[in-house]
Amino acid sequence: MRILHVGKFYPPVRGGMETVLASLCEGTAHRWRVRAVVAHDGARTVRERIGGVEVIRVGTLARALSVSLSPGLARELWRERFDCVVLHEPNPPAGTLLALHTPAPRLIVWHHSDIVRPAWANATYGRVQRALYRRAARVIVAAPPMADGGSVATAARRVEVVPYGIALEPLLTATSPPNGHLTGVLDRLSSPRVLFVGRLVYYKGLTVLLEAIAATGASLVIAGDGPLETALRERVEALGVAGRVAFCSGLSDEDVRRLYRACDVFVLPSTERTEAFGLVQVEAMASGLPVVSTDLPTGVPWVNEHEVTGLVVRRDDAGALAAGLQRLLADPALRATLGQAGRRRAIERFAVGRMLEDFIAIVESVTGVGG
Amino acid sequence: MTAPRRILYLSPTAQLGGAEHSVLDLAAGLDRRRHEPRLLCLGDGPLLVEATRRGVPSEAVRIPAAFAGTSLRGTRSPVVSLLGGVLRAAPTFAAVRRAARRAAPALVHSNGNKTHLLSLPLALGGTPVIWHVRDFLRDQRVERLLVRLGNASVKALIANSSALAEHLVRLGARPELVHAIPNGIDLARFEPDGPPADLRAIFGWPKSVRLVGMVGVLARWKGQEVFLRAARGIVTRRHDVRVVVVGGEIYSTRGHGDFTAHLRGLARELGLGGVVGFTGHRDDVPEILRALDVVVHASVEPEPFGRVIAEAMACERPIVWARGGGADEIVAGTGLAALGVPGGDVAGLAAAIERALADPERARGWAGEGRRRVSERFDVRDHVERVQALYARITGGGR
Repeated sequence: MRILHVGKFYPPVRGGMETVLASLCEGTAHRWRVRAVVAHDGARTVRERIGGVEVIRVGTLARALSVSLSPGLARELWRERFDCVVLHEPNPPAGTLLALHTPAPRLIVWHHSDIVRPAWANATYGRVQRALYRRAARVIVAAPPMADGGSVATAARRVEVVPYGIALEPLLTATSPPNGHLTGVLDRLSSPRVLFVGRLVYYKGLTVLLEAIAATGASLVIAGDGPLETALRERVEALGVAGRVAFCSGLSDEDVRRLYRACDVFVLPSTERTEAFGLVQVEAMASGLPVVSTDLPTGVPWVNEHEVTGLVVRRDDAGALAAGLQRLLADPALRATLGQAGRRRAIERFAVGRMLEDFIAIVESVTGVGG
Repeated sequence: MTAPRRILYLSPTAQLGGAEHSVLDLAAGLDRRRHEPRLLCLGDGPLLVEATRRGVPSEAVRIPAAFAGTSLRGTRSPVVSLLGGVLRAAPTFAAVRRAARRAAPALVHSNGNKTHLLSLPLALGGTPVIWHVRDFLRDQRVERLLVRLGNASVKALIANSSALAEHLVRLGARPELVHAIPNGIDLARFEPDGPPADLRAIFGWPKSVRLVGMVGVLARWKGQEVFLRAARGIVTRRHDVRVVVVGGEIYSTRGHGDFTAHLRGLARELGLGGVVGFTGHRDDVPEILRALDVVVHASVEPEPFGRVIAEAMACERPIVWARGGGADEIVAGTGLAALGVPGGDVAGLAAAIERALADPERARGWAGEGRRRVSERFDVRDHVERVQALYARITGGGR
């Protein structure tokens, strides 16, 4: 059977969605012939074989509004036939082309997140998207809340929930303690420590987090880089918390795992629906950390269960966030209980093998090919 | 009643591998009225913790990094690098001598090539020394040199299989010095009915999948690559099979460093991303073995003993094994002989694994014979008894 995945980017480009796409492609490569068509940062189209998967990165002329303009995309999508196409949404250029012509008898759409910006997207690409979702044999979302209410996934004929899964094993076992520059960073911060991991972009709610940190007196590690770094550093100075906040960028996966071990509370303060799932929460849970996240109408509060694996607080509310953090920082026993429950939930729901099982079952039922 | 004689064990590493587990089983199993153990290891590591847990007093000797990086296995220009190693190791020789003098042992029992060399001054100083030989060396010149040194200085050479004993004699070891005493398995720990490790949950695999796995140090000669290549064929034919690679790299010797990353890369390249799980090093080996439907041993060089084969047999697991060296002796006379394949034979290995998977009933029958064989021939209590008898003969005491 031949499967075509159409996504935005493919690793080594980093990101939650990229990791999931690679797991879905490489995790089924022993079973099907898998091709992935994604955008390339450069102008040339590149063909590679990665993890048993044929990866085609289509050259990009320009990027605008996080959309890649790739003139070669239509040719790559249309020139061969497949048994099933899996479109990873949102992806307006590819979605539009596949709405015009799908090179397979079956289409599956994996709806990763709603489009929040720009506001007019709903009136334009939204129409194409809804038509596409109605036509798809299945629309997959990663968490039950994603199938409810305002989401475009409600346009689908049939929605399936397949929670994202990650390789838990490296997180479950102890890693070597922090070394090198990480030791320096951590030594400077007193325990207990709050940890943020993610790109420094607008929807992550980092300014809210900094206000909350200023109000609690806790120390904070911000692991990640992004366009807001300078602004955030200035904010840290202005709030007078420079002694309690450390920025770490360019970390390896191993370094991030060490940070999970060295910190006490994980925080995901996101303020926008763009944060659809919060895969980092799963990493934190598998590492045994309690999570404080926000009440977004997405998978975020479903992944981190309130009062079970952590606390869910009102979004965009520094006071609520500070109170949630404070409660955990003051109570090591509660942290341990929530952390243990988080680890259990990660193993039960968010292991990569389980995601693959669910995905394979859907593809095989749609195509009528038994396992 | 005489006072117990002190036995000083020398371990070339403080990591925990098969050889280290063997020497701990021995040291911890000694009859304390006759012999009392002390353990000296090169460098610091988990072996010290485990020794303490098992009631064996232990101590670490600091070693210079240069010597830690010297391996006698597969060295390219052995004699030169050996001499270089000896020179660099001068402080280590002194440290071992000092520690040995403090311990004042009745006998020194060395557990690896590096400590064989380090024990030479002790032997020349009049302490009886036994070399426990657990390895085939790749380079015969080094082996001959070691054997010649051994002939001149030690009281006994223990080989952990008949194959290895014959090999030593062929190399020129004095036959009266060589004793074939196979390793022993703790049958109370390695038993079929205890709890299994929950490997399926960690990787998110359904309970219904069949697990095929390798357990042991990650090293080229152990054949994990062969296993992954064989697995490639199996998982395309059988969708109910998942593959587990259990173990970490233990030797700090140069060139051993990036093998884990290499294996993960190979698994990915083979398109096995969704069906292979790497657990890293695990201490709960009996639990792991019990979780596996088929255990695989795939060494591409003759195995001096082949501990995991005996452990899997003790747990009544079907084991597909690579022929040669000590492995043949362990499996001999059981139905498991049918699951033996030549080392390095990818297609043969895949076929044998599929035979074991296809007829679980028969495979279980063979596995039952496996435990009987281990209890008759490889019980750790017998092993300890045979070694103690040797100690008694050498130190000249009665029993």
